[in-house]
Amino acid sequence: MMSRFVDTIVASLAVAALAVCIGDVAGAQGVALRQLDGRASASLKAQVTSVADSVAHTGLPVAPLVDKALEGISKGADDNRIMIAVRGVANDLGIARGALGPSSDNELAAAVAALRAGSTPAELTRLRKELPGRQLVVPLSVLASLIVDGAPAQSAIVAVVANARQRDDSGLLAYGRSVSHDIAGGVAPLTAITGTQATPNAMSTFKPAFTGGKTAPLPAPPKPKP
Amino acid sequence: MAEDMDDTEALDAAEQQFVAQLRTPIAVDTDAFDARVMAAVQRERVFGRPDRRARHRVVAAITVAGVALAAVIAFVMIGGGVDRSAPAHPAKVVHSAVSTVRFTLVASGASQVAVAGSFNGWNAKATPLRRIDENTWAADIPLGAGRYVYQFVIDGHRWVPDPQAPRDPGDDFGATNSVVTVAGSGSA
Repeated sequence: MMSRFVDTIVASLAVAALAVCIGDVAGAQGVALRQLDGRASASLKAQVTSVADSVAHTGLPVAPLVDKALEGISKGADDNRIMIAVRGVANDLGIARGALGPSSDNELAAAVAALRAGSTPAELTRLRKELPGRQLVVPLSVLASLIVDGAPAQSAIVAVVANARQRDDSGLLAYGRSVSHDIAGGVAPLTAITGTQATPNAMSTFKPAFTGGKTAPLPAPPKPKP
Repeated sequence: MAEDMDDTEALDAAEQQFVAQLRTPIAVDTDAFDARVMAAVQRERVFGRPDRRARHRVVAAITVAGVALAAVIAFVMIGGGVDRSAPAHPAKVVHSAVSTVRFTLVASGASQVAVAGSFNGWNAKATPLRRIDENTWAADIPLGAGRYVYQFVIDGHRWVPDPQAPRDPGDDFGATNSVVTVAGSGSA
């Protein structure tokens, strides 16, 4: 008798939990797609929704797809071009998840950037294995930036792993900015990533454009000239 | 010796009387006993072991309550009855830690500058920059941990990347986006 009660209660809670999960996913998808209202044509919205449904069915986030569609709309791209971009993001999200395994939405978005920069799925898998238990948003973002700046992907991932083991996210971002600064200043990319890694104190002389922290309030706008 | 005999006989008589009393059957009111037993059984049914019909009613009630709770939760999560469609800044992500990021651009001759990106639905009008001197424009934007891509929009139509920020490798619409990454809670 008691076990039946327990079974019933457990079953009810399981149904409720399932509903929460389904509701959460469906809710996030709905909210993301609603951003297309009033901005996308009916045809484009239908196409994006179709791709988003497929993506959501596999447990991938749909927000990056909607972001890409909104970007295309704002930049005046036609629907065909937007859908090519949206499908490309969907495809890359799947590759990223396959490489990283279970990941946060932000990690997947950053992994897509790393893939597009030139990383291979195997390198992303390696990053996950080398940095177990760590959120990879910042390491992946720094990796993408280093490759975009010209660093060879394999060297970049070695540098990112080595620095990520020694620094928190803020420190790793500072490392990435320092390397970019050096490369912009004429240092060879490979030299920049290894040199900065070898002399981390050098980066303290570089003032990043984005502090990622609190900033002083903006001054009042200048008075118009008479 | 005679006295001894009398004492022995008196004791035997007392013993026999005592034994006779023990052997006398106890009077039992069988009707009252049956009534007490049945009352105990009734109490047991009501409080300890409900009958099958009552049990099924309780199980069904719990199941219905669970399903109803699940339906309500799903309805709320999906967004029924709640208008979430028009946030000024689309809630791409919700984080416990939010940092204020300053975006600046030097744009001589511009009459207005805005920033559009993945943090505001790529809305070119949602986040205007303020002019802070003759040619410099800036805006402070709160962002949660994550990686965002964006561009500046000058005078409502000219999209330009941020020359101070890293470039995004994606180039789907013919213009390179800039990247800002906000640190979260990752640790060494």
